[in-house]
Amino acid sequence: MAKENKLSNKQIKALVVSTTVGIGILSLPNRLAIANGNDGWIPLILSGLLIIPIIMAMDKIFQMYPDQDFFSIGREVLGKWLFNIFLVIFFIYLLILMSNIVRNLGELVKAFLLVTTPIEVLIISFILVTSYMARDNIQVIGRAAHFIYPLILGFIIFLIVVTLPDIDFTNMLPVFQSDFSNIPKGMDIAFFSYIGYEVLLFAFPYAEKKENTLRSSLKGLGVVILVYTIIYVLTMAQFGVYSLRRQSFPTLSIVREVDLPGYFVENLDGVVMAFWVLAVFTTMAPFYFASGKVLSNLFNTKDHSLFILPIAPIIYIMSLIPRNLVHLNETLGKYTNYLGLVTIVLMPIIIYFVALFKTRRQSK
Amino acid sequence: MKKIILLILIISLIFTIGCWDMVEINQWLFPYSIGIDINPDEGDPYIITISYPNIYGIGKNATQEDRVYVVSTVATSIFQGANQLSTRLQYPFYLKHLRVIVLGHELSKDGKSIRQIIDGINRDFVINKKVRIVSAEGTARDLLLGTLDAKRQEVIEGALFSMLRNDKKTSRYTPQTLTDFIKDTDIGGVALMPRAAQHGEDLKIFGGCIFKDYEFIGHLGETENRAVALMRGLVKEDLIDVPFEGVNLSYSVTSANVKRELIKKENNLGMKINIVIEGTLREYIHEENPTRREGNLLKRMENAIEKVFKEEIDRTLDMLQKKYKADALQIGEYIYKFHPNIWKEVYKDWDEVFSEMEIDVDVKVYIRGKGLVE
Repeated sequence: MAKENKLSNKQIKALVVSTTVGIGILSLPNRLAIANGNDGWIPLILSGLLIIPIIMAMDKIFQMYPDQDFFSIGREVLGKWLFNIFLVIFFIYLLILMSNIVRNLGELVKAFLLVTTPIEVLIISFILVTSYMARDNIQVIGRAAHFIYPLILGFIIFLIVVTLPDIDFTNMLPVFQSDFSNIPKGMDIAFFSYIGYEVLLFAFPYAEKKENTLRSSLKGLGVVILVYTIIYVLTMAQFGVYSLRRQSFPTLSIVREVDLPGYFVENLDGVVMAFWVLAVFTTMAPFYFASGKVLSNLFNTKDHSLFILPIAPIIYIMSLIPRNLVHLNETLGKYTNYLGLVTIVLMPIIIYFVALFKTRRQSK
Repeated sequence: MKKIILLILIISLIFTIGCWDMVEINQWLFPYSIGIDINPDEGDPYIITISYPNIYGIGKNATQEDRVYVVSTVATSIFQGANQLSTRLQYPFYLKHLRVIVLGHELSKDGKSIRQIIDGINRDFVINKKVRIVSAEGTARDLLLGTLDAKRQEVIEGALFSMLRNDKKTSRYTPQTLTDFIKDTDIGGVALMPRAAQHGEDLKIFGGCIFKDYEFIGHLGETENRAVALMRGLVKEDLIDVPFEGVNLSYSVTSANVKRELIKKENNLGMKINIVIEGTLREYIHEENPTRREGNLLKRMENAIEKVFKEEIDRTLDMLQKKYKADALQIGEYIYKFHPNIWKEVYKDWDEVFSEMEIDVDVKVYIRGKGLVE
């Protein structure tokens, strides 16, 4: 492989951050506040920490089989049939996830920015834009992520700056008072806000300096945990737990609360939406790319870009099935979580343990 | 260098999303205050009054005389009202820049309607949630029509809103935003809202209305509102007149710090509130010896001022605890945050507990400056 086809470690870190931070960031504090009240940050951080062993397992897999990509390793370890079943589930998971993303994006952009634009137009144009990027290789996506990563961080800093004058941190109190038996419930919500790290399955084989890849991907995860926690703390300090439970999109609402003297900055929701669409774009593109890759492996073709455009109408139709946002979360959102559990948690771990077993036996 | 320019160009794209719907900005009407009243006659329940600036009446080449228009209609909600009015006006309303919501007095007594209206505003995508709310003494419609006659009003921003900006240098009323109103009600069940009335040619905002579970239960006067603001630590600057040895002493508050502390006794809760006020003397004439420097004199003055504050506070506490049983001081919120275990025991009958509570307020006044002359 030529040098320009490698992913630098910085790019991998950016890829983890920009893929993970996406659709859920607007509503995450609200759902955590409903489940856990003032202590929503506990499941948030705990489930972030749960991801660490999974990422480490992924890294170990690629160390055991250097110079192979995820598909050939999977096939070698699990056997052709079992792995293909996993791939099919993976593909369905990606499809549902993507339709969930585009529908959410469409609904919110329509509600907040483009009131009279039909949602179909928003969805189609978004799918087409991402398909352009998804046709390229993981390196290109990595570069795009690297480019958008500072914008996400900039957004967080912007959020802190504009909200800080108004904020009352005593709203965080009382801590440790909620019912701790609800923490698994909160973790159920929080864990799936970390969906997106599975892009590492495609990124690891192309890493430039393999010995540092694990560290930088964990750093990326750390940034994500930090971003989520900051947003949770800010919204909680701004609204207090009772109001936060009522705000469907607290991250958007918080900038509507901004009321600085001289009010040249006010009604900033347009700016936040713009940042958010960018963040969703870098979430969608790697998933789209991954779904093309999975299909091309199932059908044994060399080039994944063949499959990108044919997938587009499927995403489009699926995204329009739910009747409204509530129904969307009940159907597509739920399926995403169940399938996600199988593909991005179980699959890497199973592959890891089987591979471990096999290599141990070989060395004996 | 090229990279930086490219970066700036691309980032600037984010800020160029301005055009929606292909409608020119002068084809929208931007209301800055909306008044809501109960409709006394048959038909829909509310009278919605909307006031908006006439953009053709503002600026150098104004072509029309009236600077602000006020229209009203009978409707079931704000949105319904705005919608109905758009059939009578040339352009539709756009509520994003809504600044003030005025609730009529009759409406305030109807907790269910208030809750419904507040829920509607809070649910809306467009309205800024920092919108200020005031309660009119009469009907909201009269108040808004009164703004037309108010002589010294700023045209574009609206008289009501400029009076309700947070940085006002008085504590005779406390501006209230929609979100804070809801937040205050959430825990203690009580929130305040300033009163507004017409006062000769001018508008006047003063005192406060006590809302318990979104229902109007009583008035606070100007001094009582100041006492509440003092105990909540909201006073930034204020002026107070104190009788002192036969003369009038004018004292201006420059800062006030509040420390609250919960005292738990066997079967009763107590609260200790320490208020430290710093300020300067504005005006005093000491007849006998006008230039005498005397530490004792300042001390006596401080005591006199303390006494006035104390009286105000005691009267207000008595009113809140005994008459209204309404925790406008947000002691409930304090207990909820800092003593959650105690709160779990008392929150069910918090109103009773509050009215039985021993609240001990300690005021300390310091005169830090006394102006330029001796």
